[in-house]
Amino acid sequence: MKEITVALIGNPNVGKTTLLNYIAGTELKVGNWPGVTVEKKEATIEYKGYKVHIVDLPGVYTLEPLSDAELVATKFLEEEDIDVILDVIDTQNFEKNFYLTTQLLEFEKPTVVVLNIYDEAERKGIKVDIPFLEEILNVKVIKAVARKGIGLDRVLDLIIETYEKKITPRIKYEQKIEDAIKELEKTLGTKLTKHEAINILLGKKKTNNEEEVKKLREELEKFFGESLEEIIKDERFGFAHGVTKEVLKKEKEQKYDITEILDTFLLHPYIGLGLYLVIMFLIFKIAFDFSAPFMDWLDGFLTGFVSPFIVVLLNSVGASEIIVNFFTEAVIGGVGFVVTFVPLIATLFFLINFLEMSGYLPRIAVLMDRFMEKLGLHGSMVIPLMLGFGCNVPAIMATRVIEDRRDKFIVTMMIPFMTCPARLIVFAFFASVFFDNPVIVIMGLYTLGIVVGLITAYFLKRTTFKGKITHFAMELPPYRLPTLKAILSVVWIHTKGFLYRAGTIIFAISIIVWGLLNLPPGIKDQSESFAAKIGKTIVPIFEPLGIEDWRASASLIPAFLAREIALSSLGTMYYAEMEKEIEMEEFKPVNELKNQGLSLLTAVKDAFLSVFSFKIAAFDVAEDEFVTLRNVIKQHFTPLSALSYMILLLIYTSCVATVAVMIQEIGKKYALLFLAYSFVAAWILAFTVYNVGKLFV
Amino acid sequence: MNILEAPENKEAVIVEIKKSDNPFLRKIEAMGLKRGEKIKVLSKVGRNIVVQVEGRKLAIDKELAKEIEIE
Repeated sequence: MKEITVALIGNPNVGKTTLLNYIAGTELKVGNWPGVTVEKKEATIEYKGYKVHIVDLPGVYTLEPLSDAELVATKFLEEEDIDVILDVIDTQNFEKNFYLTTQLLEFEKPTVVVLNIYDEAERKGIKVDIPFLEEILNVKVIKAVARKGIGLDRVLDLIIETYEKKITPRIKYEQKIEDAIKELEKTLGTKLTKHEAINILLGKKKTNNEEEVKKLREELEKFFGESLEEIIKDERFGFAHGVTKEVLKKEKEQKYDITEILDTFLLHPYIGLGLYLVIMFLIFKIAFDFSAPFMDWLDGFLTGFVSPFIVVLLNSVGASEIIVNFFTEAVIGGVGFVVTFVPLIATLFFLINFLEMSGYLPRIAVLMDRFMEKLGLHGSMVIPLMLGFGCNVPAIMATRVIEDRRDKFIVTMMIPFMTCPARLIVFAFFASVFFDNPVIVIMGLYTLGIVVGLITAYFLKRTTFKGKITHFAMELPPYRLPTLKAILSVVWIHTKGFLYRAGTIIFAISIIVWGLLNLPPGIKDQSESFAAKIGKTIVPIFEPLGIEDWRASASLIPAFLAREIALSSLGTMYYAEMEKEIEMEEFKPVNELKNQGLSLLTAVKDAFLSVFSFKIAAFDVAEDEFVTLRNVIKQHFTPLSALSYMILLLIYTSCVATVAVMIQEIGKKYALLFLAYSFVAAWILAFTVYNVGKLFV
Repeated sequence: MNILEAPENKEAVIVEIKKSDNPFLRKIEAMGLKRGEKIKVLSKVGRNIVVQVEGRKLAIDKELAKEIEIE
């Protein structure tokens, strides 16, 4: 089957991704462009005997290399064997978008232009003469409303038509420039596309006759009285303007504009700030409360149904105890445990994507920029940092919205210090056992995390990234109500990625951790295991922090999977025999499945109800559970050593999912360096707090 | 005068973009703030100003705004 490679390109916020989602459906794949953390989406669709391979290029305003985004787009267009260019335009801003289109036409490749958001443009009295536009440019044009799927059915047909008929665009600049290009072709003895010719004249591409090129360039500069860069820029803007004048009619300007009304409040220096805090509060409240019942249900389903079911199944085939334990503890306990976080991650992603697609996120960047700027940081960094309080993993993925590579790096190094709910669970437990006022302790830990994050950023700015100023330039798109389908498809892509990690890297680490706790073979309880040995060996490292019990230090090993495992493994180690007493005999699969179904219904009901209650249900965690553990822990920790233990868990990035995503985003070297740094920082802080604290107690 | 000195909510025309070799200013040009364009300063938030160009909104920092001359 013949493959057609299509480059999908357009300005930011023109609905490119929505269009691709619609056309590609489940074929869509998300990855990264090699070497940069710019997201790469692509899909291959079989259609009318062709394999249409669509690659979504980053949203850019121009092909001049200003940041990673433009670099990636230009490189792809220049170096890859592209058959068709699919250019998406926001019809409301036809002329502005056409500056990029003009640069695309210079490639002289079959081009399909999608006039998107046509409905809103029409409402603003804008009309485009499509047949005339097709005629003067020799391209195929369609009007579309990607959000609603209107007009997209024809996109693939037109891609194939322009490809089969080799319909290549026409673009004409000032005669003087055209003459110079002809002259250049004659000198080099080869046919050039306009893009190549301009690049040669601008000196971006070298030839074997640089003298002649220089002569042509100087002639042009003399004739126009400006630098060639300026001439070309003016020509492109001029061409965009000329085409717009020919084909676009604007009838009436509509006065009523929802964006204006919303921005009066949302972008107000003070009211906007208040509303931002309210919106963020709601995002977290909804994310936690809506997902909590599902997480509880998943947890119950795994421990109450899947796990006993596997036990029954394995026992029936006569599997040995170690194999049964492996499946229930390593597979269900490790991977299953991480999978229970899927509802939280999916809900959070849903809400964040809602904000992103609605056009609100750039406003946050503008509002927060004044505070961030004082710290030498950039307003757009606020978005991923806020997400960090929900879950560090999607937060680090969200750093992709930041354009500047340096800022992206710095913010990735800050996110792991933002306290996530996993840490909150441990804090809630220890703080309520050891302190009269747990809320103050927890707030203090949140603040400590933020401060460490800021110090890290300050340190990076002083050393590695010295002396660079970052400017702020961002478009504030009009507000739009995103469709459910569009949001869900993005949520699914990311959830799939998370599940993939759970099945691979997280699975591998669970096996190792489980092995450490259960080997060498034949041990009676975990105090004889490798984990205990390691725990005892590393006690000297943690002794200066007041953590003297080997079980506490050993609990930090499994906690590397996810912090809250620290609690459950403390529990297993202090009460190794208690677990074995759980009765499994009365397990009836059919009945249990029915029960699970019923509790899922309750979970759905609870999820929707809790969203509408005022308090954050997720903050009530760990009250009744672990009652027995409380009493035991009290004998082995002092308030100070508990504080020290919490600080260690707060600062040290003991979360395999976070480390995995860091490796993916900033590379193995920096991710591991960061891990070491976070451990050292955690140790020093815990040491200081513990020893200074001792002076007062 | 430059954009920074412009009164809010009053239309003006861009006459010149200085330092056009600065990549950020080139990006801003591609975003629509270029010579001959009618603009309106909508508001100032912190170090940024929000500018309207033909129904679109752009937020740029004041350092960049200083380089854009209007009439």
